[in-house]
Amino acid sequence: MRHLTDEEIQAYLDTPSEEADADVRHHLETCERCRKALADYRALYRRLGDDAAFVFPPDLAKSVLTRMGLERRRRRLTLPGDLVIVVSAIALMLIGISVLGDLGSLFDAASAAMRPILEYSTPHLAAARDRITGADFTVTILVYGAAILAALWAMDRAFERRRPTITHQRR
Amino acid sequence: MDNERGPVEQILAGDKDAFARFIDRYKALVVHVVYRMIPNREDREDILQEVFMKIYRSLAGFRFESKLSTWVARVAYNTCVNHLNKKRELLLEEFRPDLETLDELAGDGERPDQSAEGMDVSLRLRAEIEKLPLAYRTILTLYHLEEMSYKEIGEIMGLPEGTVKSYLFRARKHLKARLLSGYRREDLWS
Repeated sequence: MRHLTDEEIQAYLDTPSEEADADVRHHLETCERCRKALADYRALYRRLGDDAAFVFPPDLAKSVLTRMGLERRRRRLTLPGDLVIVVSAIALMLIGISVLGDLGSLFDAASAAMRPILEYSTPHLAAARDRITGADFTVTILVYGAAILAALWAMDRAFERRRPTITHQRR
Repeated sequence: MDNERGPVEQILAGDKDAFARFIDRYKALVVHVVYRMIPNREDREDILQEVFMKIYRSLAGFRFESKLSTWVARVAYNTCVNHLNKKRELLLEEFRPDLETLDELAGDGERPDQSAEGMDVSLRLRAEIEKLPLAYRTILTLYHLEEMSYKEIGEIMGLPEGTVKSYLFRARKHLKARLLSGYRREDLWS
């Protein structure tokens, strides 16, 4: 007597078909070994369909919506603030150059800042650099450093990502 | 599929409550896929959220050409595959296991009757599933927990139906053999 293969038993459980099942059923009536194999697979199927081992996060919907809301709010609320910082830092740099280079050229520096950067700021910066010597140079470096740090800090805040933590509970 | 249009349209219109209901509706499906595919427990929570955020962003592109659950499962599956690729945790044989992979696993030197001692059958089964290659784990999950067809699973994973069926049969045969070598038949049936 040919016994049912594992594939035949699984197919019998997966896709009930009256015609094909008639032969399988007939065999099962007379074969204890195949009946046991069928019971093994039934038990396995039952266990495979049991998701009791899965731990479902509570309030997942709330966590997702909060994270999405948080990200948008962070962008909306922090970007204007960060822009103010960046603009202030640039203004500070220009003022620093003007004051340290030549008080009389403050007006020129302000004018230069208003014009297209490539066209006007380069000769102005070059002229300022030529005028800076000694202690002025040190102070200028400090001003530049502070401005760069402020810009980096602003960028860091703008791109910072905060994610709420989910705690788990058993479903 | 018509009854899926209403909630989708509500979400696309900006209804946050509708999206919250959507998350609750598909939470189990996404959890099943993510938890079975991602071995690192610490990454799972983050990926769960990422899946739903991706769904929210790309829902406008859903054309109702498949069941919504199939599409959701595909987003979850692809997100997990991308994550594993990024972390270099996805080995080629895990993704496309050859016919010998399960036989190699069965002969990995560990005797189930030793390690199974004192362990609940369900726990043992879970441990055995976790040892399976990724494709087998995912197919078992979608078929038995989500009751999806071979065709739907094939669509989600980009595999032919025949391959899905073959992997499923081999995985179950392997699991049955592993459990029966460590437990009495009555323990498995109980």
